[in-house]
Amino acid sequence: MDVADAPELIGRGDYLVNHVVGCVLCHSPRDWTYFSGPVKPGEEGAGGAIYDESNGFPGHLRAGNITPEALGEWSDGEVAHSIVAGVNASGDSLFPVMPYPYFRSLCREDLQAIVAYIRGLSGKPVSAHQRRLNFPLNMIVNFIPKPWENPQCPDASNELAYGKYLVDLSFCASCHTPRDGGHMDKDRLFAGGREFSVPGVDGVVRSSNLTSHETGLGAWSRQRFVRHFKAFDQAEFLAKPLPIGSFNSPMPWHSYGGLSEADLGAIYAYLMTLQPIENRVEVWSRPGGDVGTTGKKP
Amino acid sequence: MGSGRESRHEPFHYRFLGISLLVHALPLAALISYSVDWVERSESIESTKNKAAAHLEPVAEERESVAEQELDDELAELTKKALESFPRDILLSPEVFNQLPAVIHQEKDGTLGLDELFGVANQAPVHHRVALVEFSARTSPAPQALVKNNMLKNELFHLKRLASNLGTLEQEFDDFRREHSLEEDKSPTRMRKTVLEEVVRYENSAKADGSTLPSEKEAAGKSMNQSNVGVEVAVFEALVEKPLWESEQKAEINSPRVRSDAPDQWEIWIRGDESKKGKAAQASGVVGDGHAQALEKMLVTGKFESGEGHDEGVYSKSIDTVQERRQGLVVNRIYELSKALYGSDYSQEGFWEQTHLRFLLDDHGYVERVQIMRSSGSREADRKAIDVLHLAEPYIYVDGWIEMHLPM
Repeated sequence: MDVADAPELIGRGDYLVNHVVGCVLCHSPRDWTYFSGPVKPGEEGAGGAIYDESNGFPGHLRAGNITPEALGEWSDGEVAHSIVAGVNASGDSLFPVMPYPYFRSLCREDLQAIVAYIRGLSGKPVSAHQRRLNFPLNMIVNFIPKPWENPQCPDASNELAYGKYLVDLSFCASCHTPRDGGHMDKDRLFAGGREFSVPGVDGVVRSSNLTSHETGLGAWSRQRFVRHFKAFDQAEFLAKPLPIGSFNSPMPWHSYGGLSEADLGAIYAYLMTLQPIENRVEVWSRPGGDVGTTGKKP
Repeated sequence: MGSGRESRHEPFHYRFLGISLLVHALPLAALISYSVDWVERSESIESTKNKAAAHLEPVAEERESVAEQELDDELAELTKKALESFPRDILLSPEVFNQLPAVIHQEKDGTLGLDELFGVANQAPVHHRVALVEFSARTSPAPQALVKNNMLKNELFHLKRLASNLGTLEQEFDDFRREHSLEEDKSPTRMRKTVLEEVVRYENSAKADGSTLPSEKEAAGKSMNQSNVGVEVAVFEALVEKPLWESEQKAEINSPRVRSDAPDQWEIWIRGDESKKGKAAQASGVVGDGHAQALEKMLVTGKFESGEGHDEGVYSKSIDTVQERRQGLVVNRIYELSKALYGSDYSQEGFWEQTHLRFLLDDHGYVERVQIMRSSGSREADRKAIDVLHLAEPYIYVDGWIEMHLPM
């Protein structure tokens, strides 16, 4: 695959990378003194989240630098292959904390657009980093990648199909599905309740129920859903740092707020087709069992 | 032997010539072909740019026009402040008010109401939302007291535009009225006549000498209440795309499970009389207690802060008409150019293939960043859409993203 330096591809890639697929969210340092942890300005793609024993990860790895400084020697095809098939240019399998199983649904045009945009990121210094996976994960990880099947782009006029495509690419299920011993509870997909520890926030934050049950999105109108996201697409939203001790969310609202109303509507339409699962989530539990004010809503 | 040597050397000689041709002549030919192609493309770009320039107003004129509009806004703001000290009442009939989905209601001052109206009308590409407008103009005993001559002209201009817009919206309003069994006398047809009468009256005033207009001194002595033109504007906007509206949206209305953006469930945006509108919002049954409270609060603060939004701490939307109007100018400029260069037209029946994009401008009005939110399905069309953005540069400066659909 050779990706042309075409403005229409870069424009599409800009949208996908920053508002749908969210590459820069994981692969950049985030500023948790602001609501929903926006990417630190000027650090896009410089490498970000660290996963290790301190957050329950069996090993140590970091979402690496994806700027041309790090990927300059990779061919376009190798970059694309790592995104959709989970195998890097050296032939190593990526650990699926990089959500390549979800990215398999990327169609060729959008994949090319993402690669074109990433190629245009400004270079950032690469820090030394050694990946380590504990046994037997270091063996298992090699069996996870699968070939990309080059799917067709969904018809944008088919709202449900397009909504599903966007939900897959945004890997909503990954955060919005409860975990059972570290594994996704596949009987309760999108039911919410996965626990997160957010920098600067005391207690536990949980993801919302996205199913059509009334304890989830069933209580939300389409317009309310869309407007809720779009409220975070305004400059004033990021104007002030959060007061110390206040609630913060791992959900990158600042990023998803940039989704178009039509795309948000398609996402809503698809989510409303999901099997309703009852799960009233306490979004924020403070230490000592005190439930935060955010706990009453999905 | 000698001839034998020659015969052995000849093929080598030809091979050498062949390789030499391959090494030197072919790249040269490619270079020439590329250069010719490059020159042709440059000429084509230059010709497109010239064509573009012929279709666009100089941006300086647009800037001037914006400066005038900003002055209007300043005047409107002053008027608004003055009006805040006066009691307000609602002229919309209960049928209209309770049944219609979204209302942006303004006080009975012509300048303010009309400015708000055009602010809203410029908020998004026209094809993207349905705007129903109702207008009533009460005849005042005297021309507007606080306006100066230039404001009167401005008023006249707006009234003419409004009368024209009312004509184009007539059919949509009629359809809506039939669907909701609204009173017939609320038809814009009648309202348009009233507006046109008002226009004629204004024109006659303007033609007469200055003595028919009150002096500033006289004007200052009059009550704002008596001097209002008496314009009431309600804008009903649907945040739905037409293609969805025709099919999926209607299907959703019939679905008991899915709450939709169907007309009877649109959210209510209100400014104006607190008690009546707040009750209407609750009576509509489409907003929860949190929303109703937020609406009440919005009446005071001018900002919409939803109760649900407290989940995540922030949820507000402010209405910035200057910003919206500037966006409208930029979008219109691009749209006009696209129509002139490629013949693309929003009004074309059944036109589906559009590039949905948004872009940011730098301080000098040049496109700084473009995002394609939905591809038209054709890379060529997407490329043309981005080309048009650049060809129409520079723009007046607008802060933040400008979103539009661009058919090619």
